[in-house]
Amino acid sequence: MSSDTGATAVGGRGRIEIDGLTKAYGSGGDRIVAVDGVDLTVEPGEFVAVLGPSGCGKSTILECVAGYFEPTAGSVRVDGEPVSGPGPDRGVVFQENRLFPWKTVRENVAFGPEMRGRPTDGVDGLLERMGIAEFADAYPGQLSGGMAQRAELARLLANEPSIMLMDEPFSALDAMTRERMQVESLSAWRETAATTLFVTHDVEEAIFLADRVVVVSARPGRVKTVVDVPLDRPRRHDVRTSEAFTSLKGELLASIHGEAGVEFAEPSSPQGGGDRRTGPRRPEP
Amino acid sequence: MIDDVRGRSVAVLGLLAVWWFVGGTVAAGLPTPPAVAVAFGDALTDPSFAESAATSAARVYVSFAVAAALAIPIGLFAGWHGPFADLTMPAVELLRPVPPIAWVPAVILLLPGTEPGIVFITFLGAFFPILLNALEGARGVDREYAKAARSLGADAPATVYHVALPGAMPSIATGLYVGMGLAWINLVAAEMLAGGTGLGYVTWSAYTGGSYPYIVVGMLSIGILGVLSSAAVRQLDRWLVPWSHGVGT
Repeated sequence: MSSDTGATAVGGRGRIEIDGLTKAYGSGGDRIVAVDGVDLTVEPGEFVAVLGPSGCGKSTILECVAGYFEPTAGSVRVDGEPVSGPGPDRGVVFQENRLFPWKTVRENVAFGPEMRGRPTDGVDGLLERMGIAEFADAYPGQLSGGMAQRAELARLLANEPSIMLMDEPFSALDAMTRERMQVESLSAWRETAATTLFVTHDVEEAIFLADRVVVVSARPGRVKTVVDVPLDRPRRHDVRTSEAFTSLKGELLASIHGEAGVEFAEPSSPQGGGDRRTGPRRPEP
Repeated sequence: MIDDVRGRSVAVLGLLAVWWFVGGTVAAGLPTPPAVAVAFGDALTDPSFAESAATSAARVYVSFAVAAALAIPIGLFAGWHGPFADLTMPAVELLRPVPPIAWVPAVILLLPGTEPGIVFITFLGAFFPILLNALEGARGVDREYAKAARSLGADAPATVYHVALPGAMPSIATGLYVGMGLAWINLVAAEMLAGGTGLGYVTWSAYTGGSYPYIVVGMLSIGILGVLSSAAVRQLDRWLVPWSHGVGT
């Protein structure tokens, strides 16, 4: 594990054990197996990226850990306990921000501590640190995409979760904002020492952030390879041009293209064939 | 703002002109604006008229408040929680299309005295639109917000309060606005039938007593109080849904 995962790692909490996880939707001829027999253990304080093309079921893995779905088969355990529903020990950042539109930024960030009967006096400091103090009294509808994701990250951090679950949180942002947010999330991770499961379809993002990258194949989602990222921390942007980074990127691309690229002979884009997202994107003003 | 005022004056003056013209030509029995103005002046100095207006307003506001207090929680819960809707909404759908007048015989039989009957029929006017708007509002709330709330530590009741209620609030505000209008309509119908007090009764007894300008005075008074009530509910909307009155959104 890396050198800067935080001294105590929340007393070693936040261990995720995914065991034979299978999730299917529908039944009969309409049955779609989203995830098939995924095994993955994430150690306390570890940063794991789940990398795969869109629709490969990688978000389903994360949502099972969050407790939004019951697995069809297999189990998800956190610190030895089976996951039975959503809980504040596992904070989630979604692709499209889920800030409550009817609460101001400050009220959104204070929501978790309030729900748990904790003091909220740390909220303003947190907003300051995340660079969104001037938007404390704004409503989410008035924020840019980058600021909204910052606020959502702040809302998660205010709750001091032992696990952070991030579902393509920056994919709707422009490239520059995305890179800044990646660094922000590394700082957040270092500060909280929370175990982090980060779902992405961006190879570079996965390498830049993670201790380990789990490559998931498409339909049904299966773990294809697990690759350790031997890059030093704290990481800076120039690591992206290092030799270790580019060779790792080549290795991961080969693993992804091995399936989509060869069989369908697609012209390879920098991030791999079946990678294009077609969903609506929010432009960054 | 000036244009706004000017626009409204044009509309009101236009109504006056049409009224005068119609009264002077095809409907000769229609009291003219000056005759009504005189009658209105008399009414304003007559304490019993003020009392009628106050009685009507009190009936509307009490009925409206009770309707909102019942309809918002029921509608919200039914819209948020499917099984509860299946349990309650078929009954609501059956009762909703019954016109207020059709309730009168049952109300006379079941409720003692005229006052509870009038209040009940007024209540019905406000209850259904508020209920249905709360229901549709809660149904329309994106469930992803509930997921986010649960992951932040909210339990089921807190999720209803912090997600379903504010998410449904724009729709509830619409229901309150529509409900206020229908409360006035039902109130006047009930007062005309039940007799005794209130602006509806004043208008009706002006007809039976043959003082035609007073009919128009009654109608105008009801219209003015209805407009003021709706404007008050619109103000309530700014207070209930502050996030939608912010910048841009």
